[in-house]
Amino acid sequence: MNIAAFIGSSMLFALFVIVVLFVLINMSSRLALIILLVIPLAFIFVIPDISIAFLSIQQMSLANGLVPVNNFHILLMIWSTLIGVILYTEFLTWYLGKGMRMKKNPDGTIKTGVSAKLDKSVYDAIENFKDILNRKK
Amino acid sequence: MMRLIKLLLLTIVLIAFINSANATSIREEDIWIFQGSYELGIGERAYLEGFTVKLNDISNGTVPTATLLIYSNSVYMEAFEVDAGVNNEHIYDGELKINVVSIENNRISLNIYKHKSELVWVTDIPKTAFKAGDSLSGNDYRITLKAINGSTADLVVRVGEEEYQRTYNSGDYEKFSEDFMINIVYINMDTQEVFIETLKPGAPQIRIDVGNLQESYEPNDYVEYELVVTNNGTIPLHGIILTTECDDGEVELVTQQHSILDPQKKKKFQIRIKPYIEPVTRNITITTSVEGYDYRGNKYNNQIKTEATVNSYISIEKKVTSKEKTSDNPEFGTEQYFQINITVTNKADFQTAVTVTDVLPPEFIPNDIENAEWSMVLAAGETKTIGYFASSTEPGNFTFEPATVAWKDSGETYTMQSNPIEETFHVSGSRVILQKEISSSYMVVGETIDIILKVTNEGDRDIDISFRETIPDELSYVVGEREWHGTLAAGTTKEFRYTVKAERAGEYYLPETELSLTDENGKKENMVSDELFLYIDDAPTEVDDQYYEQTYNQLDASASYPSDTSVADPDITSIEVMKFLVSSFVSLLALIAIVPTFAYLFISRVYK
Repeated sequence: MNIAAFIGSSMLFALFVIVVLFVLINMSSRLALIILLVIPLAFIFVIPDISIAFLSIQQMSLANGLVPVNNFHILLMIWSTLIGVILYTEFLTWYLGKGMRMKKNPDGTIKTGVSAKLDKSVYDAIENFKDILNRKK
Repeated sequence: MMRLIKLLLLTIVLIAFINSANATSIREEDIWIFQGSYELGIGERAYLEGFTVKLNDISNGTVPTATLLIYSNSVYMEAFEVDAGVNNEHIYDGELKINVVSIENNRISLNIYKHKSELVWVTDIPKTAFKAGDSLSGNDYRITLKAINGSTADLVVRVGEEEYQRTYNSGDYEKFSEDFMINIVYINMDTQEVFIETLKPGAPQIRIDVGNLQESYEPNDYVEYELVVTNNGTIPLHGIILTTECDDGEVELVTQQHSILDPQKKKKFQIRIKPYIEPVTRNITITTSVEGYDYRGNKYNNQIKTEATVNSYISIEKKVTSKEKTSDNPEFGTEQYFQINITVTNKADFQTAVTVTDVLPPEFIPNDIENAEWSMVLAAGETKTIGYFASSTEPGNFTFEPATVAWKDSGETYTMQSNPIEETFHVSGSRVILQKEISSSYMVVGETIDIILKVTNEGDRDIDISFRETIPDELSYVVGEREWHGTLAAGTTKEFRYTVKAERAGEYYLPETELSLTDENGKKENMVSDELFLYIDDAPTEVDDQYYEQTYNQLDASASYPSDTSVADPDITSIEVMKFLVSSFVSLLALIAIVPTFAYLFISRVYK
């Protein structure tokens, strides 16, 4: 294992994770999801050779060389973790918000802002989808 | 007849009137010549030229007296008593004078002189012509010719501070001191010239030369050589005593005597020393001093140090003899074998246990012995010979290293090597080297590769070679030399090359090539090459992503990269990477979103 490559890679990945979590907490979970995909793609687009080389670095080789672990794998692992965090954050936010709304306002029609509108449109779309399903029944 | 009588008379007259004085008589003196200093114990003798002096007895009274006997040519002549006091001198028959120096501890010290006429004077300034008024200077004197009066010459001789006025006739000579004498050789009245020479006392000079010194001496033999003493001086040397000393051995004759050595004469002395036995070869130093006296008893001496090499008491000798192998020997390859004889000798007078080690060239194998090391005990003076045979596995030129013998003496281990063997031995024979190579060990079905056979004859004999290659079923023969029969000359290499085509995929070992060799004597041998590995791969049908990826992963997983941290050869474009990443992202998102989506739908429906 090349220690320098491992430390360098770890620092870059840690920075990436911090940026995404920062956006998730302070700005928007959707923006965080977009950033999660866009940053690696942007790097590949701007500096393809270096990025591909970086992603190809083999950090370790597990199970007697049977399972090589590249930065590609680490990126996918970070992705899966953060996608999970973002989705469940979103889901729990929605769930807890729904419970609150139902206590205050049983008709559930209080939302403002772009996010609320977006939620509303998504919710409406889902409702329509459910109606279609019900009609089919 | 009358003429003959006249001639006879003339001869008689000439002999009667010719001055009998000649140069030699001037130079000789009738004196007591010092013969040497001797120290004698009771019964011991001093040997002189023609005389022997023996100490018969010493009586230790208030004044110790000694009784000496004189022999002339081994015949007893007389006995007399001497002491170290008033009666310390005895003259025998006007010829021999014995002077007692001391009588102490039953030993007597004597100076012995012999009366005889001996060369004393030598030329200082050779014969020189003088005219009236001429002068000549020497070491401490000055001679001036004042005038020539008829047949006499008037000379003024100044010696030191003294001045003498003399008138000399032709042939006159005069001794002015013990160190200076003048001789008027001839006065020529016609030319008014006087020929004068001056004389001074001569001196002996001792020169010592070593002769017959051998390069080295065996420890059980005498170190024996000659010492030649030469009197390089101008007068005889008397009472010569030669003393030999050596710290590393016993001198047989510590002192040797000789009575007289005339100028330019030589005397040979034989020196014999029994060296002490030592385990190492070393140089021993022998100091020999020679002393002698002139007629006045002045001492002259000289010394020489001689170095002689004495060998160790263990000696080793190695002898290598090359022999031809007999024709009925069926062995293939070399034609000579070697007999090696190692002789070890113990020259000491005690037994010694020794270990003899021999080293053979790496190509050699000894016959019938396991290793070339022998331990043995050598009795005093014993010689043992070890003999064995060895033969070379390959032809060429070889040199042999010396054999080594090791032994212990007083707790120390000593080793000695035999003399180096300068000779280079040639071994004739045949030696064939077979190399089999393939142009590539990886090939795809349908491809061709070259198989190369390289046969080298490294020997110095021509050799008959034949082979025929077997081609396995997975390959098919295309073109080239796959069989040959012929003669390969000594020192040459022949290369055979043939092409095969891969027919079926798999991992194979090419069968070994068998070479049949026959040398000039008809001896046969077979030789085989190595088996070569060959991997034949399936032919690639088309560009297959799956195959590519598989290969890529295989390569990646096969740890073919030397370092853990290595960059796989990313033969992939950025678009492909982006595609891969987007698809991976979408897949992960879809996968992770399954559970929350269903939860959302369920909750939404329940709490509608």
